[in-house]
Amino acid sequence: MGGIPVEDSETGLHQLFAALEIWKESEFKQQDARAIWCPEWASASEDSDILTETKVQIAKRALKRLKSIKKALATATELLDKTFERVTEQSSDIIRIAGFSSLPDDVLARIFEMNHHAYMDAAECGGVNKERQFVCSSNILAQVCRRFRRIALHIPSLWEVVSNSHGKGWISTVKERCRSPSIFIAYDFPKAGKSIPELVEHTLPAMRWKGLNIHLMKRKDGHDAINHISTISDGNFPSLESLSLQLDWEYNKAQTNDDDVDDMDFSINLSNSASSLLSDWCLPKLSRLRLKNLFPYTIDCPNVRTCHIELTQLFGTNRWDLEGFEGFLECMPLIESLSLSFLNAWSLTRHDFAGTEPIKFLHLKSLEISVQGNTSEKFLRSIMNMMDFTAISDLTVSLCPICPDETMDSGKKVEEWLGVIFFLDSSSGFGTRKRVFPDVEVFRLDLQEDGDHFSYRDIFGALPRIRDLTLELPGCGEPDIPTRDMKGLRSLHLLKSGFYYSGETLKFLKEQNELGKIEKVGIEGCSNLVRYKDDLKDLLGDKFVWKG
Amino acid sequence: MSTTEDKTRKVKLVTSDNEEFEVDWEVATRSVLIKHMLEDIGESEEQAIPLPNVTANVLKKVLEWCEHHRKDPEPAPESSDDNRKRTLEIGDWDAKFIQVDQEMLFEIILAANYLDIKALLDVGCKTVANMIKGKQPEEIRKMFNIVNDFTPEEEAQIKKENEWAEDR
Repeated sequence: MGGIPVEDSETGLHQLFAALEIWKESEFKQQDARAIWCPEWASASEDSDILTETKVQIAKRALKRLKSIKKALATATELLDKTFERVTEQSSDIIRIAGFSSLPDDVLARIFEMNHHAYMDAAECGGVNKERQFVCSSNILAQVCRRFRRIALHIPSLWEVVSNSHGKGWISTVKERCRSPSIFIAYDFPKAGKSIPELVEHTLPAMRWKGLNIHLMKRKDGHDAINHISTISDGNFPSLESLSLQLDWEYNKAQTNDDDVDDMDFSINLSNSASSLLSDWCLPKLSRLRLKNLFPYTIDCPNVRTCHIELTQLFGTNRWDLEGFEGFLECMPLIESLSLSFLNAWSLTRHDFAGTEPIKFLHLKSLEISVQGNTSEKFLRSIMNMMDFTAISDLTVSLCPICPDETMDSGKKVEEWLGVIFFLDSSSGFGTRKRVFPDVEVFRLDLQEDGDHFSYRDIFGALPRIRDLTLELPGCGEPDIPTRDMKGLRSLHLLKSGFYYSGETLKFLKEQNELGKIEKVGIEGCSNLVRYKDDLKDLLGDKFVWKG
Repeated sequence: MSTTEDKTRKVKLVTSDNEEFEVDWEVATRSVLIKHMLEDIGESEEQAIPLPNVTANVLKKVLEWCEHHRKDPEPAPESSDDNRKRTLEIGDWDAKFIQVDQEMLFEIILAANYLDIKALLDVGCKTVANMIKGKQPEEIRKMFNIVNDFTPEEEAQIKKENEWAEDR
């Protein structure tokens, strides 16, 4: 550490202390600063009796004194800055330690639970594998320090994940930590078939299972897994809250390995016997259901609130049994949130359910529908006609066509799908009888592109109560938002939209703002709108959020 | 249930470092603790609410959050806590609000916990959970300057528990 050079600064320091002493004696009150820093000059300059020559000498001494004090101050300031920097650096660690350790156990437990829930969400979608970091997020936390470990071990739910991809020793360990496990069965690693019976037997009784997540790689796997679990559990799952059956098939393998399932019903991707066994499962507490590429004809889960169904295939032309699908949907009368995702989906069924009584979901509030690939118009129409969506308040529509050959126009495909979703009588485009969603207040539309005869006005006309609108429209034209029909709009979000901006949206926002109803406008990832940024900021002030 | 009179009422809060804040009733009562204290003292408007566990600079930040969320609906009951914890997503405004140094982040979490402002507590906890997410034990230790205080025996036990995953 550097010090102040003694010879240069000693005088300056003495003079500085003397000045500070004078200032202190005056009780730091405001006065003539000259009286503090150069008192001799302060009095001499006012005294008319002192000779000019003497005054010059006093002035020279005063200036020398000021220069000396200033130099001492500069040295002291430099020293202070260095010390400040060093103490900041040294103390930041201790402050961080104090910060984290100051959090009480219950707050840390809350953080651990949040961390675990995020892990569970990812695991329920993608499964659990042997990678160490995926064994269990709580296991990572329990290896940080003793306090973390103590807290983590006291929360049983953090240890709920048990998978056949885990080692036997680990399964025994977590079994002791959590009595209500979530079972993850995976078929995507060698010897998976052998490890499944071992896992199931190790985690009995099935009456305690809180979750069951089966990740299949072939159609035959579903048959095996359901058969096995039915045998050892007797189909009784009184504690099961979450069930996930996902078939991530690989087309070639499916073709070569499915031959030995004699009673396979390809239109539901389950063997008749497996579907029948699944129908016999008693699931009174099941509230979350996730199905991918398969569904049973019926299932006994009257309390399901959230359901995600994905029917997707990259190859082949599997045709789904939509009458069977309708029967399956009827098993969930209390459903509140339904998410449907279709990729290259076709219907086996001849009729489009137009003349049948739609299923009424009295509690359904949220519907998310994603259509991709070359999904047929007829398939989508059947799905839309099959259910009554008049109670929903939150609607998300996401469309992304991928046409297998150049003869098919993807813009036209989008028009077909939108026509089916928002019109009752459309045929290859928009019709005249709107399928009205009378209570939808929150609407999100994701379109990769639009068609030549496409009109947003027709869509918004079917949504008379929109309050919160989000549009993600890369590759689309500027949306013609009808002011007249959207008087209730409170917030508008434009995301990743690549359209040429003609100013229509600004005009619309101006009108809405004049009505005093707009509360928030957000634009994110729309670099082509940057030249309107300032206009929007002027117009909307704090209500406007721009993210480049 | 708040009345029109409540909404125009002002509340005085005094921090541990003796700074006084006068805020709208609607803003102050985002804190369940303050709400209950106000119910206890009744109509006495002049009486200041002492907050001995919160300093002025932290309360200022907390009140900024409360002001922004003054119109938010009442927090859901504890039973739906599970849903609130399920996602680590944080709203745009909250994400910007919580971009503070670690010291202030922990101070905000502590204050939200003490003042019983569940939604703010969640924002803070989610921020920490996001910082932890996907990290290995050593990275977490480094980030929060946590000392590995396991005994050799405990280390051996942890290693034994996890050796099946190492053996790939």
